[in-house]
Amino acid sequence: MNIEITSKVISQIIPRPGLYDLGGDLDNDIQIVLDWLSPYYPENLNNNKPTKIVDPSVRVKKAIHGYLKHESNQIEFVMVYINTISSQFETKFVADLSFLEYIHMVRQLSHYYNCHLDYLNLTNRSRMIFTRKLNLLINSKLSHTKMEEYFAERLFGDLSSQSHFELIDVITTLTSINLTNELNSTMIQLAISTIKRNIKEIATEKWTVPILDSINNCITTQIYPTFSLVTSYTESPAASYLSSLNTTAHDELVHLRISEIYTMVSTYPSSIPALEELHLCLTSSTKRRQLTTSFIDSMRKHLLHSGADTVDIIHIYIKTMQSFLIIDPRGVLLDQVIRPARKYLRTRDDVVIKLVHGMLNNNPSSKLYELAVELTRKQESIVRDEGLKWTPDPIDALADFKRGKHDVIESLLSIFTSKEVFIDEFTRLFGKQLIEGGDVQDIEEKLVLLKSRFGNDLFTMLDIMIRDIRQSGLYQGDLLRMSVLSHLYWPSSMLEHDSFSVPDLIQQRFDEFKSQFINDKPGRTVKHIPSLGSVTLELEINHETKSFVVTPLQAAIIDLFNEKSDEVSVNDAATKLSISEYTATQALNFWVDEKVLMKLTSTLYIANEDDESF
Amino acid sequence: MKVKILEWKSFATWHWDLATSADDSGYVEELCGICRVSFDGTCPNCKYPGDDCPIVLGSGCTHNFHLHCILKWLEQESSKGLCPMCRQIFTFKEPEQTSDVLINLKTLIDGHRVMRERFQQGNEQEFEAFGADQDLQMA
Repeated sequence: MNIEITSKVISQIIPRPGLYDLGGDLDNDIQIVLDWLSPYYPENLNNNKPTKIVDPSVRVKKAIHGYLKHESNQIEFVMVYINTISSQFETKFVADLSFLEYIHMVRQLSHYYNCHLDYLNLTNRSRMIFTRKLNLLINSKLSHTKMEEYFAERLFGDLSSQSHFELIDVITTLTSINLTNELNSTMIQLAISTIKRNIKEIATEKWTVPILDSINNCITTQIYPTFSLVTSYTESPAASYLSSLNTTAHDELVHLRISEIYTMVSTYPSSIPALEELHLCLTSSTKRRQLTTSFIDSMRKHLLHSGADTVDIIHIYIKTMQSFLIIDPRGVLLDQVIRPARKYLRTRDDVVIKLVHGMLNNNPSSKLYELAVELTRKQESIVRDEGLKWTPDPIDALADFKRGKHDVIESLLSIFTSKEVFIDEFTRLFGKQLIEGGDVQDIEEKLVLLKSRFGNDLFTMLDIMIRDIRQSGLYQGDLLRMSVLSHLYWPSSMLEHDSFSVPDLIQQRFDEFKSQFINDKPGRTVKHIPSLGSVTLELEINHETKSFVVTPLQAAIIDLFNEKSDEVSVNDAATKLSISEYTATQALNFWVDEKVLMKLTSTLYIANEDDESF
Repeated sequence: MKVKILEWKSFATWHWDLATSADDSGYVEELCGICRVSFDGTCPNCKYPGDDCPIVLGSGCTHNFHLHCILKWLEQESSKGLCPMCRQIFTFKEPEQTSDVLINLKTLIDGHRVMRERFQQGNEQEFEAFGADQDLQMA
């Protein structure tokens, strides 16, 4: 086909620009583009279907092409466009949007503007500027509290498929508008608070069973799946947070235990499982410090004051040793927490006597039974010389930290600089038992244990005391049973007693004994201590026979009434026994309390017998 | 009312009955002149007082000692058999019952006596024989 190219033909193909399309008129082009773009706000936020995008007309395309050719124009346009969107957005946005509605809105807005923008042929830079500005605009409307509430309900619960998809939807939407950081931090906060809540529920005051496994289990099955789901969308590359989650949980547990430590220690040994797990979780030196500080504070508050019983303090002292050696077998923490208790115990006068009684009390109900058990425990010989295996003290040890074994008794004894105080107390205690007719065999057995602890040399006095009592079996006569003591080797306070005159019969027996002794042991003699010992006697009163075990003085007093129906005055009694009237009155009143004697006047006593017995 | 005493458990303390007067407490506070420990205690080498660590009463002088203490003293040749307190020749009151240790003591005292006698003889013979001095030293 032959067509002659004329201007007419050309003008048919390429129309001459008319009024309608003043191509070079920039203001016009902007208006056309803007008209087409018309700021958009989704009408139905519950409808998840994206609004349909109207394809631009040829004129619009042309306007876009003409106007947005240069990047500078693009950027200028983006600014203007955003301003327009912003003002429209501000007027249409409803503040009380639910979180899901917000998400829907975000999705529709993103979809709409992204489609439009595709037609605008923007450069990367201008498109980035637009996206950033748009995201900022949308982000500013996000209610963080609503987001937290939404996630709090859905994260870390059970992930049914329905909520699972919805969650993924929300996560991708949030990620798409550059809310990754907010999302992450919200999730981490939620994870931590969930862990905290769980730990509180699982672990609080639960010390008697191991719980670490159930905590780890809760992390692996409850926290971690959601956590990794979220991070797989928000992190690139997706990192594994399992071990950090575990660490968080363990830290939280330690935190809880720090607040509970004192009560935990005082419930030892039932709290052993919790103490062992604390040992596993306590890894940071800060937490160690917090632990010791918390314990010392509680101990000061609950125990180390004048209201507490010494036995209780020693009791807790022992538990503290046992507990802290579980938490820290090196003994460094123990060394730190035990110091205040040691310092305090030094101010107590009765520690020695309580310790001594505790060590010797074999009754399992005794609060200090642990000491008695510990005393019988065989001691391993300590190898002091470590030779080439020497290692420096632990880094957090106090300056005069002593390594080596941590023996409860050793530790308690070392509160005092000298062992003498203990030896004196043992001597007094055993001496009393020996005088009162305690089981010599039993005392000897205990003495063997004490010697293995304190050394043989310190118990010479007790050895001699026991021998005195053992040998007293040699002096048993009719009525009178004598024990002869080596007076230099008994606590002098035990032998110093006011003397009195024993009944004639007894005095006679003693004189017989004395001459026998002088005969047996040439050069030596004996001195009677009448008030020491005990007397078994029978009273026949009102045709009844009553037996008593009384002190010698009480026996001597009642002997004054033997086969006598007359009253006895205090003065008489005192004179006959060569004692003070006060002492006589006391002994007389003893028998009044026993209903054997009657008080006629304040100074006259008589046997409490029925009249017909005369 | 009848009072029938079944058993009277009582205590006494023993002490050495020395000639010196006792104080109010009835105990003699005199110390052994050698070890400075009370007679009712033990010499430094003994554990149990009394039978195991008896005392010896001086008869030539008034000084008394733990048997073990005076034995140790007399075992030294330099003691010359004298009382460490007053430097008189030490003799003792022999108790009725004797023992191995007392026999030892006696032997020692006798030994010292023999020594003294020889020494005196030696003095007398000093001018006569030179060798006697040597004999003495060798003995």
